[in-house]
Amino acid sequence: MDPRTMSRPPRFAEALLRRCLPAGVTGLTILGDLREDYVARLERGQGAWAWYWREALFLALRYRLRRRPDTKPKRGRWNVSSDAKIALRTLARSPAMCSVIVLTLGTAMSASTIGFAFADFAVVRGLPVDDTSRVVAIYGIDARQRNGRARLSPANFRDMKDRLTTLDRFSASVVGRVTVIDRGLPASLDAGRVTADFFAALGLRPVAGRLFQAGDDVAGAPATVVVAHQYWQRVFAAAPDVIGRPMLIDGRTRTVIGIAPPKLEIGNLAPIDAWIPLEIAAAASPTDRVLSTFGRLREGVSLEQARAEVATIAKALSAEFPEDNKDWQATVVPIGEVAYGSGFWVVVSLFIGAVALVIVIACANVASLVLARAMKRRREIALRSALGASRARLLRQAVIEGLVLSIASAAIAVPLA
Amino acid sequence: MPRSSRSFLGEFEQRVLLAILRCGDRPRPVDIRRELARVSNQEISRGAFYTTLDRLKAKKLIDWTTVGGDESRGGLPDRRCRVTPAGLRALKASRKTLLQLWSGLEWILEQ
Repeated sequence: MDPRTMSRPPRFAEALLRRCLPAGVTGLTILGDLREDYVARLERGQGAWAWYWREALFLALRYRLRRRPDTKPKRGRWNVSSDAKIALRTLARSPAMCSVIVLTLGTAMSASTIGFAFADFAVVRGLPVDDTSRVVAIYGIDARQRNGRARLSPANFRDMKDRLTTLDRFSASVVGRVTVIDRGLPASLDAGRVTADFFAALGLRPVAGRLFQAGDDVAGAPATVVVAHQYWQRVFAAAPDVIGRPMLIDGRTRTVIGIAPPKLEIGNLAPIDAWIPLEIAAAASPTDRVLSTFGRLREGVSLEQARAEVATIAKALSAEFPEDNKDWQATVVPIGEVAYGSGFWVVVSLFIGAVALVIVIACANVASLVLARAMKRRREIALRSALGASRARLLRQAVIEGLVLSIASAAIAVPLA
Repeated sequence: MPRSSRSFLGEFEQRVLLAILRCGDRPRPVDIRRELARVSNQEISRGAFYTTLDRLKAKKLIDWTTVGGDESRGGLPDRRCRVTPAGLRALKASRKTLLQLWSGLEWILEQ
């Protein structure tokens, strides 16, 4: 064996020493001393390998245990990282209990997040409509299918729009999927096809550009598209110059004319990416009842007046086109009732109550687990106290442990929600 | 009076200081430790020895210069130690205190 290799001390022991000894030349001189003694032992024919390891371990231990001036905790200083390390070590000693606590809290957190997001949509934000008291939906009443909220056919919508006098705006919409070619790659989008009055009926204003206006939904009009706010941010990176850009949608190049307001996006319940004009006259099946219709009451017109007019028009259409509209009627429903329904507030109250109950049950379970754990740790706490830990210090440790558990629970809750 | 001369020397600190003086001109830590082991006739803990050197240096009772190491050290640097005037004063003060304390207690040595 190469004598130089022979005279080299165990590599790992030396690496350990390099890590533990003081940095700089002082540490190197100690390493040199040790190597000199190692070589001397080799020359005397004494066992050197095990000796070196023993010396290295004791030396490393000595220097690791020695309190360095720069690491000495200052009195009264909030050493969060140290407390967090202790908390992690303590929690790691009882992994099963910690997993149960984290899972319980995480599930409760995700449930409450979903519940409060729903409440936010229903109670706090309200409908994305300007002056909800004047916006109404018109439904067909299909007696044959016992459907009191049937959609309208394009033909009935057109005829009704021509005759209605109580509504200022009357629009139709249908939701479907379209294919867009984005940078040479096809992508499927959720699109709302709407008549030109749609945004005006809801009283919405654009973030940029303009929304649809009269003439956009007739044959021969320029092909246009209004992009949703989330789509503008997600795909166009909120580029300010998006207006005027072309989009190839279902094989037709459309020009982006505006960005819809974000309040139209209600969570992820209606993920519309783009709004396209709906040409009623070009409908492939004029008698298919596929259209959702909204209108805005004229100033001074009551809901009852609008209902009476719509019922009259429906009766007339039923008489004029008996093949398509036999026994067909129509009614007007306020937008609030459409969105929420008559029993909505009961459902919302029950839902929020159920969520609150879940949180209470989860917290009670976690509290009993933490209490049981604290009972098991009485000796440890007494020992810490005897070693000089103040009451505040012990409390701080408990708070940090709670925070660590909460952060872990939140980390689980976010993807769950 | 310098602070170092007022501070009490631990027993091991005194032994290290005396070993440095016994080794002659600017001894190396390896030689100091060997001298300590030879005189006290026992193995000296390496960790205790080096941390005591650090402590004495911090108290400015000893000083050292660093020199390049030879082949037997793998080229690692070495130290040449010396007792500073403050270290000498501390040793003298410590000896004086000990002798005063021993004064009149010689009969114990005869037991």
